[in-house]
Amino acid sequence: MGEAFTVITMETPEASLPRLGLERQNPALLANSASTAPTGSVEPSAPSEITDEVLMQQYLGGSNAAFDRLYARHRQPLYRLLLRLLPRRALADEVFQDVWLRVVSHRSSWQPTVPFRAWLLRIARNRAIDTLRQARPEQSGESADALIESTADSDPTPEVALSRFESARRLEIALASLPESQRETFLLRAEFGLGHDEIAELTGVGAETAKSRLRYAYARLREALGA
Amino acid sequence: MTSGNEMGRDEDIALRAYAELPRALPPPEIEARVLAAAHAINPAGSRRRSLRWTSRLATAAVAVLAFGLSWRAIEFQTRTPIAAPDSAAAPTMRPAFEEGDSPAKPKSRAAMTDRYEPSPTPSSRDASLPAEPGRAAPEPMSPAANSPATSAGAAENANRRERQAPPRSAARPFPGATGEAEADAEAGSGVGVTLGRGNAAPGTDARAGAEAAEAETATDAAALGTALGAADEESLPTLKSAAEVQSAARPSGRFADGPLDKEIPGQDLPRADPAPPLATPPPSDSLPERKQESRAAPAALGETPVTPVDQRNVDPVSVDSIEDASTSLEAALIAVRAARARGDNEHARALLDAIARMHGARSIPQDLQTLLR
Repeated sequence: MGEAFTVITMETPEASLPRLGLERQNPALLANSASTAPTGSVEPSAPSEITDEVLMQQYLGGSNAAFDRLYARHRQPLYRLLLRLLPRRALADEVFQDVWLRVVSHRSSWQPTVPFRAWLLRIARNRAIDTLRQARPEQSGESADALIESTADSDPTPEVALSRFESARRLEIALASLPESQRETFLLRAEFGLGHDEIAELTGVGAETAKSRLRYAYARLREALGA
Repeated sequence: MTSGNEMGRDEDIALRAYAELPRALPPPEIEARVLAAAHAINPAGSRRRSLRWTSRLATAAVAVLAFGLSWRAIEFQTRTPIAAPDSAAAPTMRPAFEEGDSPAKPKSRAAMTDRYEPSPTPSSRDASLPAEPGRAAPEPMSPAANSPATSAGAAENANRRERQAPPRSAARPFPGATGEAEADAEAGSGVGVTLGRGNAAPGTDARAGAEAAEAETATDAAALGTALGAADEESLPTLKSAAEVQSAARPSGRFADGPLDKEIPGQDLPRADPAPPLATPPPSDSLPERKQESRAAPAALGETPVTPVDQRNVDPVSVDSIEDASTSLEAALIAVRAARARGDNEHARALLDAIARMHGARSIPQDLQTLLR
């Protein structure tokens, strides 16, 4: 238990960093790596990795490469978060682009004392909430299938693909059936590895509330998965 | 504890299942749009270009500054030997002066011979000075004026005074005097501060020189004697004072070096006592006699007779001034000689007594010992 928890907390931010250049050069490599590297088992980041704050300051100082690295770190978890928070993929694309454009345009309002990830997630959450208010999610089994299909990778064998498709479909449906607060809390935990306190601070609730939301979300997902 | 374990198990299952979900990536066009917007804020190369431009400008500025400083340093080094009033500069300037390379200098050499003549007695000065061609004004000298450094200071003072008199310089009523003052200031070595006195036309500036001489005190006269005593014939040109410069530049309405009979209209200032005719020099103030007086002046502190320089001064020395040390020994001795020359032996004895009390009997020259009571 504890090991799994530790691995999960180390995963997301650095996962996509070394892949950005390779993805653009060879999309097949991206597909293979995406299919073989699940979110919870991403390789740990190097201890000497430059922090988000340093990269942001370098970008403010005129370094475009720093922004590229920053974008590579956060683009995938942010996109997955938005993809599962918002009812349609088009909305997720729109919000994703808008969030990053806001990061660029409001870069001067960022303060080095504030963690960049928290600032980025706050922008994304606010933008997603605005979008959700305009279009209530109508997540159904069909939309979950479409989401799975749109994100599905090429599998080596039809049996494996079918098995993964079924389990993913169940999970997607279970996620969609979660209350928004629980889904959001679970996604922040799963995608960004945030702790209870960070989730509580970002969502504006108490730490115990965030913890209980997580507990309910885990239980319902486990029930949906039939484990 | 049980709920914690259950939560951990549920979390593990849920996260593992979530990790099995296929990864979704944002569309490439959105990524390109985002990156383009981010890069548009910081145009590639602009920062590097600006840094390059700044560094080039800084390099050019530093180069110009270094060139200017080195130029100034070289200029300063070339000027320093001339401007510095050290003794080494005097010999280097002297030969050029003596050889009369400059067209303005030959007359100055003639003036050098008469420059150090002592002032005549008050009775004969007014009548004799203007009539002497090429006569130099009596020049008060301090003992320190014998050093080249002080001569340089006198040259600078003369130059400063020339600058402080713009109307005179502008009109240049005394081209000889002013021109030579400028030439001497340019030389800057303090050697041969020659002025138009020696070159002055007869009766033009001699009167001004006499007025300058009147303004001097007995102490200055004593200093003159000391200076002349220390100077030999070769070093005489170095003993020109700023007072001579001033007296030479004093407006008299006539050219010092110009034609003798030429006058500047409107410049002939009225005088309370007009200068005597040029053609009537008193025989007692002729050139050879004054040369003899000049040679006798250095011995004023020794056993030589009292010179007219001493006689002409109104004696400010009293017994009190000697006793309160406000009068130097040399000035006091000169005053004694002057008193003796006037026939005022009583005053001379009183002064000698005071000198003996203050400085000791040994400080009194042998020729004055007879006056001691």
